[in-house]
Amino acid sequence: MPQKTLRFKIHQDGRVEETVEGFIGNSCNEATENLENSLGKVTVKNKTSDAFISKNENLQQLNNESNVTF
Amino acid sequence: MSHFSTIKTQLKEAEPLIKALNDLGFKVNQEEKFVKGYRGRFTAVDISMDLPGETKVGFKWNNNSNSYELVADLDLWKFELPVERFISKVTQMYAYQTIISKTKEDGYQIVEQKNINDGSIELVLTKWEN
Repeated sequence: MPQKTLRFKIHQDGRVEETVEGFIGNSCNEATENLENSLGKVTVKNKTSDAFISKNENLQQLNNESNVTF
Repeated sequence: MSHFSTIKTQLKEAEPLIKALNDLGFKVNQEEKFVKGYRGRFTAVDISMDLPGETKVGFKWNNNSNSYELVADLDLWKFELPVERFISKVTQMYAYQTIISKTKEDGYQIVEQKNINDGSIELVLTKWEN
């Protein structure tokens, strides 16, 4: 049962940086699609490091992005 | 998978916009849906409000941009905040209100909220799921 985490940084000018963690497969896109549509235009979208983890690997182990080496 | 996105906020929905204006302490006046400008010209708006300094402004839906836009007579702008700062503040609070209400609908809980020195707001929300 993974914990799903959404992190937002809402800048003074209204620009929003969003990080979505803990989702398996493409479900993270569905999770925030609605919200992104209400907010405005997505200008940049990147997969983060744990996007490359498959279902059977341990998500916790790689949760801290800065420690990930490939 | 996980992702990282940057979103340019647009004022797309009335409800979080009105909430944002209220939150910032501005009085929304939905009785008079117009803004009176220079030489007494009137412009119809969807959301109208009075700013301190007797500056009357409103937000009008724009079909081209698919969002609400500010209507104000800049010659009559007497509010202490410059108009650009006012728009930024409203947009930031709109983003906050939209995030709070949409994620609540999806079952997320706020675990952290911080006002940062650079004027930004940081929010962390989580949900446990099967």
